[in-house]
Amino acid sequence: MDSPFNYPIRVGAVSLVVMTLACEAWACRWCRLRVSQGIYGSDFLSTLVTLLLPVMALGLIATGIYHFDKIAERLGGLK
Amino acid sequence: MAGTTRTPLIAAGILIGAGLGGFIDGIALHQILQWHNMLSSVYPPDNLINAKINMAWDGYFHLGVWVTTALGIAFLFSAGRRQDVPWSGRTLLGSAIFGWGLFNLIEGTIDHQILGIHHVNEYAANRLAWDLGFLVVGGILLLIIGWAVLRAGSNDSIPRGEGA
Repeated sequence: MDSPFNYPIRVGAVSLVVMTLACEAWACRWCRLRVSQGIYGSDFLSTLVTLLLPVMALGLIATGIYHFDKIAERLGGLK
Repeated sequence: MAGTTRTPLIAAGILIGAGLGGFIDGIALHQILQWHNMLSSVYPPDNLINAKINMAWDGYFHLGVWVTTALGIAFLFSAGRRQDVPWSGRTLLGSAIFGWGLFNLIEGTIDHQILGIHHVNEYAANRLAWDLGFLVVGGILLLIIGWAVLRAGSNDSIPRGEGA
C-alpha cells in the first residue's frame, strides 16, 4: 500500500510485539507475583490468540474487501 | 458508475467502525459500567489479584482494537489517493456502522457464546438474555442500519475537494 503510514505501521507493529511479548505487568509489590502467575502462565499465548480472534477476523475480512477488485480479477483470470 | 470501486472505502470504514466500537465496549462496559472484563468469567474480579489480571487482558484487547483503528486510517488514506474510489460520507459512515455491528457479532459469538470467557453483564440474573440482546441490538441491528446507509450512498460520487 503506497502510504506515508507504511513506516509508522512498521514501527507500531514492532512496538506492539514488544508490548505484547516482551513486557510484564508490574503491579504492586504485594500482589506482583500472583498477578504475573495469573497472566503469564503456559496458556498466555493461546489466551492472547483467543482474545484477539475477533480483531484478526475483522482484519482479514477488511483486507479482503480492500483488495476485492484484485482478488476478483485474479479469480476471473483463473476461469 | 463504470470504472469505480467503493470497496477500499468500505474496508476502511469497517476497520474504523470495528476499532472504535471495540473502544466503546472497553471504555463503557469494562471500565465505566464494569459489567464485565475480558476474562471475568474465568477470573471473577472480586479480589485485587483477579481485577489486575483482568486489567492486563483488557489492555491486550485495547491494543488489538487500536491496531484495527490504525489500519482503518491507513486504508482510508490510501483510498483517498485513488481516483477510482468515489468519495462518500454515507459509504464511510455506513461501513463504519456495519463494521461495528460485525465486530459485536463476531466478538459476542466467540467470547460470550462459544468460549464463555466473559458475558455482557456478569452480575445480571439472566446472563444469556443480556448476551442474546447484545447480539441482536449491538450486532444484527447495527448491521442492518449500516447496510441501509451503505446502500443509500451507493451512487454518491463527490468530486475531491468539494463539500461532503
